[in-house]
Amino acid sequence: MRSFSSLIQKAQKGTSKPRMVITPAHDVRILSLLPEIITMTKPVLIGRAKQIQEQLINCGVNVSGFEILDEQDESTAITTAVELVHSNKVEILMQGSVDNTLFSQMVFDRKKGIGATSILSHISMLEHSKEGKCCMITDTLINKAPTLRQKIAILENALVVAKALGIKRPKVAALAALEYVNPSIQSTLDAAVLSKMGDRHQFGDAIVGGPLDIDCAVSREASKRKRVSSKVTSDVDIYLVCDVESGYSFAEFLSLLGRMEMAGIIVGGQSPVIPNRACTTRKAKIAEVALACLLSKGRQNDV
Amino acid sequence: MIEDFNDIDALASQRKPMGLVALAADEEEFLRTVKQACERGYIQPCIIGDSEKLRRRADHIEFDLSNVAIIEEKEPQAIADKGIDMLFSQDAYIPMKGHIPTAYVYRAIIRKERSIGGKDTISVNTLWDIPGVSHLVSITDTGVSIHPDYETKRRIINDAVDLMHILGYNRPKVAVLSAYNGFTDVLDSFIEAKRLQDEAQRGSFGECDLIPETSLTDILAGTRGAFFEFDPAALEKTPHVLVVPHLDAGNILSKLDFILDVTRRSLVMTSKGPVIIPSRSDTHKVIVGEVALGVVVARLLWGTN
Repeated sequence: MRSFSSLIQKAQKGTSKPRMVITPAHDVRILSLLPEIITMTKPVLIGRAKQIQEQLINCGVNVSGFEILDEQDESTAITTAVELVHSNKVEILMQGSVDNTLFSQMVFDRKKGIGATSILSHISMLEHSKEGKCCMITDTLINKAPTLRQKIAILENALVVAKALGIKRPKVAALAALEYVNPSIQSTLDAAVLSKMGDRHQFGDAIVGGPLDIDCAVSREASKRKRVSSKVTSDVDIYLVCDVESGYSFAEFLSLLGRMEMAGIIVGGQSPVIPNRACTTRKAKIAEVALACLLSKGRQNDV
Repeated sequence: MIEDFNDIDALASQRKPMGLVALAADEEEFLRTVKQACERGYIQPCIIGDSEKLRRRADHIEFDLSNVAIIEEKEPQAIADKGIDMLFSQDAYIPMKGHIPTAYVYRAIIRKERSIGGKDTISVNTLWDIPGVSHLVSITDTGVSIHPDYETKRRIINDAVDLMHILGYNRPKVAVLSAYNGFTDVLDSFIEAKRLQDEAQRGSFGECDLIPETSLTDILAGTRGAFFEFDPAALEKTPHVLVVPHLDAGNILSKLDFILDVTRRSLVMTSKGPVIIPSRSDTHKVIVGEVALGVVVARLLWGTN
């Protein structure tokens, strides 16, 4: 995938439109996106109905075209949205205007949430205009300090996204602080194992390089200086980071200092979830919807 | 105040060359660094290492060693120990790590610090020159502590603040980074950041401000009230010091110059002065800049001509 524009175009070309619930939807910022959103999905709006209707009118959007479920309370609005996912009535869940902690506690709940039997992870997708391609960083939001087993699941989640994007042989850099194995640094050990699993085709056609430090992942020259040879160097599709501290700051530095558009999505559950992050541009938010569309159950069958 | 690396480069060559001791410079990029730093008038070099190898390499790059002091030594820890001794004695040499593993140099520094009752821990400050930002930004610790605890973070902040004071920033702004944003349980890094901010309010870190924001997003992008739009002017809000949660994060962030339009130079501050620790992937062009930084910091610290 070369750009967010091509991602959005791909999502718009789909034969079916997945249903997406926005909860709570009384958020003028998100409602203002509806003209673009409806080119890819059928939205269901949950929240304070009167407020939603007023905001839609203010945004110049035709109120009659949308299914609106009236819920005054934020917690109930989230519960209703999760139930819609459970009953297969919607295929995408988007966080509206609500505190991250409340939203994540309810949506990620091990019993009642959308990921009861799986590992959820967040992918930051960045549009690297200089390179002319998009890359992914994961996990950038959810898993505090993933174990090797969790990293395997996080990588598998990312590979599902790569497949939906049409990347046939995704190149994965399993990042660590060093490019060689140091028994005192767990990230180097985990990355080495993941790389070996890749060699044995345990991740399908994905090519996994690791451990790689960032310079060996992105620069052939640096890699040569360090005498590291990896097929993924300078052509990485997925950066698998060792924990959320590394992932979050890596993604935000690229986005803010590198001025790269960044879209985020939570995967691994019953439906893709679009979180409401700070620092999201209008274009990136639409790209998030497009990405969720490509990952939705109906569209997965098209891949 | 030193605003960028152009200032550093100009200052480095303004006065008489400073003593630099290169620890195993018998590899081409390191030897080219020494050669170029000499030509620019930054340094008067001494090299500790394998003299035979050194002369062969020097011939290859046409570097005349007649004005270079050479101390014969092949064992890496002994090389590091001798070089760090020269910093801690009255010789006033700036050590630069060459073709030996960093661990030997760190070990030599820590032993020496302990022997004089100096610092308990050391840290690497990676300075960034970011276009559009009128001050240098230090990312720290990017090289030593794998998982710094609260006490270690205190020392890391003290080190960074001291360095920024030396560079002329009277009251640097410091952000202690954390990925916590409500989607995970509270992270230790966030709890520590809040404790450190409280401590800073009581004046524990001297002349600096620990800002309440714990991520670049909070600092530059603000809240979720509206869609974000890039504002180049907002970059100026980047703090002088960014304290990373751990080594894995520090290593990624500090080397983003391979992707971003920023320039990187790193050093370790000991009780006696700077030690230059280039990355093994750096070319001599990058390392010469680090030498210039070391020279300027040492000169400001030692008050030498």
